[in-house]
Amino acid sequence: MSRAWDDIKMIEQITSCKRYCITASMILFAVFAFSAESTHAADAKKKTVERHTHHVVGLFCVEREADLREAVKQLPDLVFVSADFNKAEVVLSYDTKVLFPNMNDGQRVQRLDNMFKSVSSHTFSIKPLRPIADDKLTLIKIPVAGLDCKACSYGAYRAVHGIDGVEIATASFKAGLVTALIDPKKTNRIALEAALKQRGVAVK
Amino acid sequence: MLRRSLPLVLLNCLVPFLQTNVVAAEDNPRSYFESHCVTCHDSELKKGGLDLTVLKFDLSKSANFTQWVKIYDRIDTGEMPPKKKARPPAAETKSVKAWLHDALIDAEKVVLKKRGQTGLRRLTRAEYENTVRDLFDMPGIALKGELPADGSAHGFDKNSDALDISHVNIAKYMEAANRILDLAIATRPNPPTVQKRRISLANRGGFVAHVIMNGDGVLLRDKKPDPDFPPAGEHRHIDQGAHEQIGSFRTGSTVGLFRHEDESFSPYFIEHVTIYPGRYRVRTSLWSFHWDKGRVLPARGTEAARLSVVQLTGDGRGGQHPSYVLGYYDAPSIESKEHELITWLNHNEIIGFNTASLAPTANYSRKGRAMAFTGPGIACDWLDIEGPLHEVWPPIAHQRLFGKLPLVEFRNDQTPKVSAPQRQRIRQLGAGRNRPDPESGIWTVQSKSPTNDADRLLASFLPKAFRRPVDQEVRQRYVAKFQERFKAGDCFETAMRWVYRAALCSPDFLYHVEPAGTLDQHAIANRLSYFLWNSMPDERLRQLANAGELKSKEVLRSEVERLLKDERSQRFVEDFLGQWLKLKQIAATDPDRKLYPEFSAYLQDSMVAESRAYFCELIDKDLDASYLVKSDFAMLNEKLAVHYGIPGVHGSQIRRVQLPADSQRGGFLTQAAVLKITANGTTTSPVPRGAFVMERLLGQMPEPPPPNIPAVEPDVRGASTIREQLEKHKANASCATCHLKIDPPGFALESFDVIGGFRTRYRSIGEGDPAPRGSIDPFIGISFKLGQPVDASGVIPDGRTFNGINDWKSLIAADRESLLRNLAKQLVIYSTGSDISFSERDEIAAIVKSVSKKKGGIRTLIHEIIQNELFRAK
Amino acid sequence: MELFRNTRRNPLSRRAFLKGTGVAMTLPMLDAMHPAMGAAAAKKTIPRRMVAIETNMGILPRYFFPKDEGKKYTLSPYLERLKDFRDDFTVFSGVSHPGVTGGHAAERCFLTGTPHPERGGFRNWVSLDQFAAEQVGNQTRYPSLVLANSNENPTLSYTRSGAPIPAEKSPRKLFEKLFIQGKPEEVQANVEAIRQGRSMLDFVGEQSKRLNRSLSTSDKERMDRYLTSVRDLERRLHSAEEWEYKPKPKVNAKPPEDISDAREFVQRTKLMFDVMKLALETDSSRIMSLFIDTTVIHNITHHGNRADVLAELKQKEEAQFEALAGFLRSLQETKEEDQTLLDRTMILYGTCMGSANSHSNVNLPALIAGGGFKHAGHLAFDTKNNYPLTNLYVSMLQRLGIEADKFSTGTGTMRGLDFKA
Repeated sequence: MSRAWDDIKMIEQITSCKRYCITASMILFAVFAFSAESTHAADAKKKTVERHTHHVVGLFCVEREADLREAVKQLPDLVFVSADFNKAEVVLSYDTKVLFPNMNDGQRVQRLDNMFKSVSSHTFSIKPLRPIADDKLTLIKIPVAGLDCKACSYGAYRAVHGIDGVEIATASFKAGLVTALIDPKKTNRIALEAALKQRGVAVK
Repeated sequence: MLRRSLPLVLLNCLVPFLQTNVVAAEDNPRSYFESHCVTCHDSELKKGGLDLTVLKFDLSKSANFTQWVKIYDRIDTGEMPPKKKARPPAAETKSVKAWLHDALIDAEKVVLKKRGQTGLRRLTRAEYENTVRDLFDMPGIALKGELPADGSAHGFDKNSDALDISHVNIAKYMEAANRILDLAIATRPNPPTVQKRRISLANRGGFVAHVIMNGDGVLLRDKKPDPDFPPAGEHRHIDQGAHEQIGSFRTGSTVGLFRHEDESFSPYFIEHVTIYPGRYRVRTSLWSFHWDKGRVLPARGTEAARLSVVQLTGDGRGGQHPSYVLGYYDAPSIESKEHELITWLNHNEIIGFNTASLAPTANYSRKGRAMAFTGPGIACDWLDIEGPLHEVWPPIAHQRLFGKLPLVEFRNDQTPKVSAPQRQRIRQLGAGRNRPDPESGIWTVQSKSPTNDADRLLASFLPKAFRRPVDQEVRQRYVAKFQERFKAGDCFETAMRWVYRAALCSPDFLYHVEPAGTLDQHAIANRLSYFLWNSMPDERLRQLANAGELKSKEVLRSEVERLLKDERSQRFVEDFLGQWLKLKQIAATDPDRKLYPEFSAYLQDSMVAESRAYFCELIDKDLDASYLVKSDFAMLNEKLAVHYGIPGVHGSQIRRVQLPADSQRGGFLTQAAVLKITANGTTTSPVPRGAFVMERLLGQMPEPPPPNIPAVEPDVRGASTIREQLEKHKANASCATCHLKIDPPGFALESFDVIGGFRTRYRSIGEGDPAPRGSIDPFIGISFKLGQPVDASGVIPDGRTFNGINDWKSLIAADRESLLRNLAKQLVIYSTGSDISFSERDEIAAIVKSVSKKKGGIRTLIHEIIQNELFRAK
Repeated sequence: MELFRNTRRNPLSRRAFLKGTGVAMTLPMLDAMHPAMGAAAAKKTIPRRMVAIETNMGILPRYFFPKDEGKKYTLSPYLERLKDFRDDFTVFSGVSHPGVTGGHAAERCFLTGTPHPERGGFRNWVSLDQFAAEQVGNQTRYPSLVLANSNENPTLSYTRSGAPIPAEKSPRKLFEKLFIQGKPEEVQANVEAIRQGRSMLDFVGEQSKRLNRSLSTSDKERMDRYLTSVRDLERRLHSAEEWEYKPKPKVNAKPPEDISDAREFVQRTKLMFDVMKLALETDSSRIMSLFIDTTVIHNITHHGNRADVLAELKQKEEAQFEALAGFLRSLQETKEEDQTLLDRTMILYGTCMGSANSHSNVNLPALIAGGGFKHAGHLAFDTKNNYPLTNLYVSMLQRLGIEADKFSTGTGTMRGLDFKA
């Protein structure tokens, strides 16, 4: 299964390597500057800054990682540490006491979700980490055709991700592939293909 | 010879004319009628419906008078007694004519003495709207549509017979007064914030975004396809919501459209929905291109885009049609061109767009979409909208009502017994991104000396609104009413509002008040301004009237010049042509799409613009009456020039173009607007067109068709022509007499189809030969065929023949005097609100004579009319 | 010509006219009238209603008119759509309004019958519904409902002075006007607004009297028309004020959603019919006019005998008759006392042009349904020399209980159409 994920990542990197590198280095610089400042601010109070891993919705292709970094930049007191495209997870560093005083974990995720939605026109959202183990899930790969357009890919992603039982999904018309990690008890390939067709996606 | 004035008492009006006793037997008009008329016009034959054996001579009765005028006219034109019969000696005819002429005039004087020529009339809808616009400096307030429609009498709505009044009108005037005052009264201490916004045509949630996702347009950056939004091809862009969230339409990219507005596609800039009525600055950047399956290439020429104002309806969606067109703007090849205008926008109005000069196309569900399409496109880089622009605050409208009184916050705790002024809630429809300013309490005018202020404000307002001086006694009634309301607990604004509403619903405001007798100075000022501006007099005219200077012919002359130069004279051109040439009916029919696929809204708007510009040119250059039917130039833009087959005209703006020597164009009748109005959208018939020419250009009212004659059933299957069908119709003797007069101009105009295109063969849906494309846009599909040939020849009533339109034009244009006389009549009816009486025919003749003597044209005619007694007598 | 203004023939009998201007008009009839009626009031009068509908772009005659006459006529393609009601309507042929010509211009005269709308100086007469409303209108909250299905501003209804009455075009707004009760403070505000309106009318009326003194005799008459209009409105406001205090009827139906697309005129007509049925059922008004604007099909009415265009037109017109059938059905299914609403509501349905293709105004397609008539199947008159349709209007007025023996150009009741006992 993990080989499948690597395949996708390979394709993404090959096709957009140069651009990816440039953006990545620019973002690294930004993160450095940003974290220095925030560390400085936190120094004044008690240092309770920690790293947190969250499930992120909307990371449907590798290029979206850059969008995610841009989104985090707009949120004060939050620092982007890393993103795991394969797992649809993001690692953030922040001070719980400053950002989410007197909130339980559920409330905190809810609040974070609202923050991400508001800076990304609702294209990113934050959810609790997936409770189901990966080995209970099945990866479905559907070859598709469409325009090489980020928004179109997002459209295909929305169609699949909205189905109950889909844990993680990706979509890229550039790569011609939609993937979904599904709970086979809840859904199946036929349902996914039907949802895509309904959205207007040409399923090969 | 007959004595000049035959004692009428001897004519017993209770018995038929032919049984009356008239003094001297040999001078007897009776014997004239007996020997030359009654043979045909008796109880048996009743030719033309006239039976002289029973017709009385009772001119005090309107119907009888009209009948005798008709008899006079037939003798006068020489039509009667008929040419085929033995003619009476000319002298005898002349004396009978003179006798009848005097009798008619004498009878008319009796009636005219009792009342003026012009009946008291209320403002027409257009006059009402323009008057309010000028009175309050609210140049775009829309009121006309809410008022009941006016009628029409003698061809125009400005006659008291056309201007009925009922409780419905009064109720509507009350509503309108409320709307006017709501808009005019300032309710905030500072002007609304000026908002400036740059809008993409691909609005969020809009039609345009939807169609470009499907290949009816593209996004462009640096005059090339936007790399982040590839043109729709084998695949379309899916999921509009996803694109809006990702921000595909917010990148500042240019929108290139291939698709023309149609039943299911109306492009607007929906991100500005007007909240505060007022003036707005609108700028846009446009260009055109040739799209070739993914490549942007130079365009075929300059294309034209339309900007319009669209009123959003209750559900926040726009109507199918624009409320009004702002204009057509050039989109040159590849080079962006910026256009700027300032326009008034009302609440919930938005700016609409159309690729006006493009043919209808739909890549939407076509295979390969934009990537398979080759054809023209129009690009809109952006639209800037800025406003509301207020030069002063409170605005002029408010100052008209409340002068310089200060606006203060209304505090109920300070004046508990005074009720607060009512305020309308601002509700913005649709998806506008402009926002209302925060409300900051209730603000209203404050007066420290209410009664004095009320008196002072009314002394300034009432004479302006009533368009004449207002007696102190009258003003006092208004002030008393104000005091009554103020005492009852209304705040100053509300109490003043009460009297202002009353003023706007009062007969002084709603009617053209012209006291009996010779017109006073103010009535003359009003006639002038309602003639040439279709609105109230301005400050200068008011002052001249106050000073009594409008008596002077020189002052009148210079005022006419001033009024004609003013932009407001366009209202006259629009209103007058709208009725005289029926241009208001331009959209009454939609041409059949199969027969006339090249028709478009752009063509239709250009048609109207042509006729207006032509009339303006006649006035500006003082061209003579022959230009009504014939000219060596035309007022054209590219759209019309192509339609008329005239090369070398580029762009959307109308300009004067010299016509080729062999052109069929020139003059009003061969303008597409007139040709369209006189057709029904599918077929043409010489009868309505001929009737239009007689009635509108030659000033001869055709008789209505006799009852129980079936109308000709139009047929476009191509088997027979309208002329063949009319021939059968004319075989009927009772039809023939009138059709001999009506049909010839219609025959000459048969060379023009329902949209004013020149033709030598009729278009057909059924039988016929394949049609060549001609000047039709190559992107328009053609399915009609060429049917029967057109025969545009004929015989005019005096027996001269013509072959084709130019022949006929030359015949008619030669009779400059008839054309001039008719236009004089039309302008007099329009400007005085009264039909031409029998006795006024002499005045008209004098005007015509004077214009001809001066070798003057239409401008001279306007001057002569205004200088004439006719214009200045009630 | 303007000089001698035609003193227009009053289309109404003097007796009818006086009845219309008397005290009965100024006060709602309701309770005030009953004591005056004395013993007669004890005998129940059946409430009778009238709905007049015009579709303005003609109806294809070949699919409308039946071939044979009398009660046992064969249904035409369009009337086939109304077959469930064949005993409840009478279809006419060979009828038209005498002297009404002018092609499309005649659409203004469908309920007025005024000759020659195309001529200069034309002034319309009072329309059938407004004439009836003057007589019987004050028995209900709204003397009449003037309705249109259009995106423009057409109307079938004209006042006594010939002024057009703007029509309500939105079924939703109509529903709100009929059934949505305002809050007490809104009612109070409405009453106050009406009072101030009346007071203002009083004031401007005085102004016209002042102006009158400076005018010529004939202008005085014209100014009097202004004053009459002002007083007329004042009376209406007075009546509105009385009704303002009475609660509006309650209905179970939900307010309809308007359709803005003019091409959906059949669907829009259905929506309007639904609200009209509710208005009749709740006795909110007994007199209604409905102008169905089918200008969107104007092009295809100039069919020029093309087969494909005729087929398209037929399909549209059939759908209109389908909608009419739905309306008749809804009235038939609603009972009032021992009768159906259809029995008590006469529905006139017709058009102003006999052939839209040639703009002919003779041989008008028209029918009347319901309303307490002994329906006579197909009443065929002379197609060469038409029978006046305005006579039907006299019958309709009499069926409403109005003593009129003339209306417009109608000089008697419709031949062959009798009242049910």
